[in-house]
Amino acid sequence: MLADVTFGQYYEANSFVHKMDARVKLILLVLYIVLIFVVKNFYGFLVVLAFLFIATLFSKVPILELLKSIKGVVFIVILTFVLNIFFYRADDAKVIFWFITDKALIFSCFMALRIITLVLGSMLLNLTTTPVALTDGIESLLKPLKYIKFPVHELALVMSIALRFIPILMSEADRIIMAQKARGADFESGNIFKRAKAMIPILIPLLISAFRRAEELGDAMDSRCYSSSAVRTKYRVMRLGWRDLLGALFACVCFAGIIILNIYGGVVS
Amino acid sequence: MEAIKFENVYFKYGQNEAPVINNLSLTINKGEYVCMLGKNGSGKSTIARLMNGLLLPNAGKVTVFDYDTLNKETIFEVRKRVGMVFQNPDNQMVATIVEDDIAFGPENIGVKSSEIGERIDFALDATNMQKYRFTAGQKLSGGQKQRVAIAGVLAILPEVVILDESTSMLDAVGRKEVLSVVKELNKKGITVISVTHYMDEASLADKIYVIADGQIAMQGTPSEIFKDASELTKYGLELPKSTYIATKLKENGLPIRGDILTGEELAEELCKLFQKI
Repeated sequence: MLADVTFGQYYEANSFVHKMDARVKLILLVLYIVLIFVVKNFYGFLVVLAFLFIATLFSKVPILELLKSIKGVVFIVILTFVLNIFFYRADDAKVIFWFITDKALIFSCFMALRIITLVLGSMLLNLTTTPVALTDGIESLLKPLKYIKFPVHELALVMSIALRFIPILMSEADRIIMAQKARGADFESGNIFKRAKAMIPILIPLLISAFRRAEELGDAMDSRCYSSSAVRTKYRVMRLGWRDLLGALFACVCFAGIIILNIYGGVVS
Repeated sequence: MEAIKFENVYFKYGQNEAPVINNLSLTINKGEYVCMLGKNGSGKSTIARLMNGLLLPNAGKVTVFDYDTLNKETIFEVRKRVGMVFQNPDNQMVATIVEDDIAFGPENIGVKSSEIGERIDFALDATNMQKYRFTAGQKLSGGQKQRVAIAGVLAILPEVVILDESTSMLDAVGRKEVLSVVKELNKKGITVISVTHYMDEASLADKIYVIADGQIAMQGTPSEIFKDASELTKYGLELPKSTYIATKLKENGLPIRGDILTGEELAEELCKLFQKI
């Protein structure tokens, strides 16, 4: 479980998508997310699904592995579906069953599809990119913000340090829970407020320990000549390759297809 | 050549607190293997932190290769030359993956990207960790993590490496791994300063300083220091196990050398003794 956090959901493989630059993948993901909310008819969705399917094939990630990620959002998908069926109102809607109108049904299906494709797309990025590459990519993409004095490098460093300390603090929390249980602490009984209150003896020692660790890490970083103002270099140089060009080209063709179908395929929802 | 020099250094943590370091003067030469011994609260870790400018003296002067640690402009020159490895192996790694963590130091001092790879190779070689270059730090043992910490320091190409109780959270195997790396480094000419309360580690050093109340209480080679057990006990320390056994045997009338420092020496001496009987 602890190791899982370190690598996120990274699925180790040597594939076309894995080798693509994290920045390109991030940009494509943002475009992809915008597009799935723009899509207005089923033709568009067919292209979205086709794109997702082909991208998955080229990533060598087993489709089942990818589909597993839906598990976590099943509840949200169902909730959105039900709420939309109840509350979607359209002027010319026909009731097809009980109180459910045809438009509400279609709209709900679309929303569910959107969430599912959104999660699948983001998951594909997580599965094919290490957290380290992701933070590097985000840092590089945010670089223009430096001109308005936004601390891009610091933000990226904070992100990577957070990633690094999650498993450590988790095992620490485990230890504290056991220590408090050994002294008779009860975390399982009582109502939700009582249980929340019972968390305090875990959170406070955890917080103190986190501060102590932060101080030591700060000393270690100082000792290794860290200073944010100095001209830092980077070990990992990100270079765009032919894969990035090809991948981006393919994605752009798909995205253009979606937009064209969106304009000429009629509006279903 | 002088690597680190303390001249009448005073230090206290707070305005109204008693000084932790009291008029301390010492000189550590290039290439030496020095050990700082002392019980908890004796000020030995504070001395280590004064050596690379993490702490600054309230009075007196600390110079590192002729750079005054009080001079803010040259503090990075000091830290480039004096690397420090801390106690907790988990709290020193900045990055998730070993090679990224080692790259942190060179990145900070602006080494060219193409050269950082070579530095990582060098540091991993020196610490015998080549196999773990792409491993997540979390998956390493304590001893391996500390070796990565040493590698991270070595990638800056320091002249002095300070170990601030770096073995105290390790098991026997991990400690042995780290110490053998440190010994190798010292052979290659790197000055090693080891702050510890493990007597067995101190016996590896060329020179020992016993610290008590922020001052040097005793100094000398390991055999000089461990000659007098009663003096050591005064400062809250005890003899290394092998030395202790040898002196006890001697007290009980066995013809055994009194200046034994390591387990191997003791074993050899006992074998000789056995043959005589």
